[in-house]
Amino acid sequence: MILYEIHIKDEKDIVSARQRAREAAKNMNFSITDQTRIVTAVSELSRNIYVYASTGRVVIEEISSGTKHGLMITFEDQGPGIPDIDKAMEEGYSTGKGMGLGLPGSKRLVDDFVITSQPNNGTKIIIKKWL
Amino acid sequence: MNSVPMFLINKILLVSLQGEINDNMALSFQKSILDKIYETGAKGVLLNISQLDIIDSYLGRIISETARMIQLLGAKAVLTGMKPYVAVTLEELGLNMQGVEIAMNADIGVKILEDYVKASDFEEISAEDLE
Amino acid sequence: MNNSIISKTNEILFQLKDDITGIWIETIQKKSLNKVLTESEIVSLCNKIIHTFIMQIEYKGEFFSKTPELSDANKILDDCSKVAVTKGLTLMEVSTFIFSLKNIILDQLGKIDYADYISLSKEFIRISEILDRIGMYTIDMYVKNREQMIARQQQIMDDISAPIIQVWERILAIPLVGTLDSKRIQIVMEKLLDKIASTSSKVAIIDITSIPSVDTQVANQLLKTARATKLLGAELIITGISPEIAQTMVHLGVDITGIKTRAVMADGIKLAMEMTGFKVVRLVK
Repeated sequence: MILYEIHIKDEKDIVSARQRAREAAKNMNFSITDQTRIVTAVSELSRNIYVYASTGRVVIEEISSGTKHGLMITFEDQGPGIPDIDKAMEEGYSTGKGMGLGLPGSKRLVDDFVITSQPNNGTKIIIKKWL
Repeated sequence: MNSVPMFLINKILLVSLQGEINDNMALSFQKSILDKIYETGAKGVLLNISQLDIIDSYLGRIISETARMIQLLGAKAVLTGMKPYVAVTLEELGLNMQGVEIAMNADIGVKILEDYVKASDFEEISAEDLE
Repeated sequence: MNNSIISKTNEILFQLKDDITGIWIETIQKKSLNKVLTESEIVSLCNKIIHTFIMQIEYKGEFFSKTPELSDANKILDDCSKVAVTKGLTLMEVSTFIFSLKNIILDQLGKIDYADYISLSKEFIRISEILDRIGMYTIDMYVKNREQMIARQQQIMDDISAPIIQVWERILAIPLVGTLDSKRIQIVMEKLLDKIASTSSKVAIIDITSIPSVDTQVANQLLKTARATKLLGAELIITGISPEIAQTMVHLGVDITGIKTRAVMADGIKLAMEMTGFKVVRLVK
């Protein structure tokens, strides 16, 4: 069930995405630590859209699988894409280099992390966090 | 223009980071702190982040940069008020906040800074003691 | 060539020497060179150059040899060019000064009664060549002297802008002023390391308060200096770091760990004194 959809075109939209993610996570009764993880991941990945693709969208959905409940968040853009995903998922890109992609870090914050991307064809990242 | 609240007490600058901090604000608060240190000769900066619910890689980088800049001016920066769930998330994200000294609470932070201020100041002795 | 014709020309020109000089001085003053040179300076220069001219028209040897007569003449022209440099004349003004003599002299030549046009033409050419040579030599010397003066001024500036001062027993201070480039810092660094060694100083303070901005190269040079200082068994403190420079250095990713820095020199001096075994206290009544 789709809870929120946020279009990213301005820096303040990153803030909106965070706030919506916070609301969703809180309403689903995630622990405060998990809420923080989710909101931080949303902040990182939305910022990537803003920085690398200028526009894109973030969709926050409630999902279930059997008795599990959780949140699924999709980050999509039509930007330049990531040429070498394996490299981008390596450690060196996120820590200390500042405006790195933050991908490996974000991956650690969530339970599922799927990324598809092609040069000039945009990027799509789907993350899931279960209660 | 939104400026970060700062108080100067006994050569220690108390700064509270709060609310949403975007690019412009980050650079301008960085500059405000540095200017204040330069103008007043402040020797210590207590960066209070107890109002921050999340710290993403962008903000983390700004904080760590600011601490390094403060050091360059010959002053000392101490971070205080880090929430436990923020600490966990930062660690998972892979941000190590290098170069920033972190104090468990404001009292300890202030004590650390007072010691530093004292060391950089002149001891006073009376002429009689010299004899 | 008929030597008697040459002698005739030379003698007439010699007799007309003062008149020619007079006309020349007037011409120069009309060309508003009297704004940069005083009357006596103009008179002195003109007399010297005319003197050289007379020396050269009477010279019978090859003009490209290094004979004593020619070197004397050249020396006079060199001195004249130095005057031009010191008075700040432009190249254009120097050219105008010298080449305005040509018309005056050639004009006089035209009034001499030669036997035929061929003689007149040959003398024209001879005198022209001499005047051109005088002109070009003077200008060449002017350019050389000017470049030397600029180099000297630059050296003076360099010396002033990075004086090394012994502020205390084993503490040196270098206030840097003006724009820093990689090369200047390198020179300062070498001078500093020499001074540290020769005075057995333990601490050197480089103050960059008067430096408006710092780029990667400069920052790296400063770090290099700090490391080299350590290798000498001494320490470097960098003071005068402004908020802008602090921001630039961190954004540039300059690794300043292990280097002591302070915003104001006073703090640097206090630290330096503590590092050399002194304690500074404030006396209260």
